[in-house]
Amino acid sequence: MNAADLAVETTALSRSYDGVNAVDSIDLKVPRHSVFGFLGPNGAGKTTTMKMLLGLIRPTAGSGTVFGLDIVADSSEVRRRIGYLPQEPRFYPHMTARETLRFAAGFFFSGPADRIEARVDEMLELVGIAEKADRPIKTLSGGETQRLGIAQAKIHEPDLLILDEPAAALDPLGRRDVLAILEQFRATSTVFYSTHILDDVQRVSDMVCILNKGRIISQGQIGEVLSVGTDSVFTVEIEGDVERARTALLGQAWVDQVAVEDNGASARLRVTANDANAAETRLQRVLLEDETLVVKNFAKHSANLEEVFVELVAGGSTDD
Amino acid sequence: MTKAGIAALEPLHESGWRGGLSNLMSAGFRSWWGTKDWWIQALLWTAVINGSLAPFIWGDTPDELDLFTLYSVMSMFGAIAVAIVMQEAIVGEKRSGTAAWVLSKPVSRQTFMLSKLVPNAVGVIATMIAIPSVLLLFQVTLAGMEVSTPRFALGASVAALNLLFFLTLTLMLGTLFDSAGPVIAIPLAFAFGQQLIAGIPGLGSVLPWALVVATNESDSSVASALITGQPVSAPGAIVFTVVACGIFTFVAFWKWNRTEL
Repeated sequence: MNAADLAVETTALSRSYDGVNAVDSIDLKVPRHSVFGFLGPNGAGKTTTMKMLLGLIRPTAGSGTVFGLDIVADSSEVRRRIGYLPQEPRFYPHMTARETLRFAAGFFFSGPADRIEARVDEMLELVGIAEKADRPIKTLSGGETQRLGIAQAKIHEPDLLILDEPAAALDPLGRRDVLAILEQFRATSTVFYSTHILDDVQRVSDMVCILNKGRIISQGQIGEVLSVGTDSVFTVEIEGDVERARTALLGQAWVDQVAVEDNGASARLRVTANDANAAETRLQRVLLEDETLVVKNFAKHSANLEEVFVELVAGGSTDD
Repeated sequence: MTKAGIAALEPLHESGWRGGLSNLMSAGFRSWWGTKDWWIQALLWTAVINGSLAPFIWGDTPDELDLFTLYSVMSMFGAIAVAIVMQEAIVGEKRSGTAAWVLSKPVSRQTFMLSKLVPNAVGVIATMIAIPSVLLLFQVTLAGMEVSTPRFALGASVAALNLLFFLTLTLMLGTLFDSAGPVIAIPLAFAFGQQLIAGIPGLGSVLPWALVVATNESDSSVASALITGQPVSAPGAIVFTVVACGIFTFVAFWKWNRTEL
């Protein structure tokens, strides 16, 4: 992927506070028109990274570009092309939702007034708060404020949307709506968003990056990230003498580990192999050599993002 | 959804230090003149200044010097109000996150600071000095006292300079601290503490205090001397206050440019 295909690219981007690295030499590559999920536990450095891209925090080392523009030298031009939703959006309490959107539009457009109003109305409709458009911000619920935050970020149809926990304050229906909106954005913008809700990432993201302790521990297309470490894991459901089955499998040179989950009448074996091909072709045969065993089910293990996330973060592994 | 939604809109061409200037300035002025704040402040200060001075104006033997000495002293209370009004201007936005939100737009840090300085300075001076002073001049004229309008305007400008001192001081403190406590406490402590340190030889005639209050080293304040046409005994106070306002403003801009949000 060359630089022209990237919306965001960072090289060894770092930020430290009193010698402690909040963001430690990260190399991000966010392709244009992707929905890019930025994951990590609390304190991983997600918000700091986003704020560095926006020029709100200065990097202590490394560099970054947004659409080829330097995030420090060309910060104002970068921000012209970004729409940003903060983690806990706060707007001026004396303004209404409509006034807030009008105010946000005023940073990008000089007129005509009726067209700006039409755009404001369009955004209010998009996020479903048109009925509350003329109420003061302080009367809006957390979810409604979040929706307003998405609308103001989108008001100028930015090339890149940076959304920090866009669905955090929403109920399940609100989350569903926001995910649908994110998917619509893909057509015109790149969406770079952080979240703790891993189901959402798996549902809408093309690309994912997992950050832990300020460092990238996994980055790539969602399928690639999900396959990390699971290529050679198989699950087999059997009936019969589980211990004999386990012993038989552990006797094979291509088997590293066998974990057993006893379900009463049957048992589920999670077999980790060091040779995926050998396991795929020979695993069932080994078990069926024992006539007392019945293989009820056999499949390559497919991980979900939560498993991968927990394994990577808890394991503390890094790319480098 | 396509870019067609914004195709009919005219892009705003403000870049460099002017980024976001028109929008933030109009929002800043609207926060004064688009709300009830301006007339509440104007009514309050008109009532305080004109009401307090009415007995001097309509009394049996109105004394011009006493009247305008008290007028300039009254404006000292405005300094306290300025600190209260301005305390949240920067700190409040830093803490609430609205500053980070605004600065995530194509807005320069200088513009953000200007939008706090200029509309608030205009609002404060108009409602706390200009409007009450015009009505005071009207009242004085009605009572048959002869006051030179240009001299009165000059004296009122000096009273306004005193307010600007506290406005820029509070603004600077807002960039230096993250909580409202010191931002309001330091200006208030200075406002009242001046009467103590004004006794130190040499200081009395240069502190902003001397602009509106007669000190040990001067018979009348700079403002009342200008209005009544007497010699100004503490011109150093004007110089000191102007220089201090400049330094406070410079530090505020400098610090804000380096503030991480």
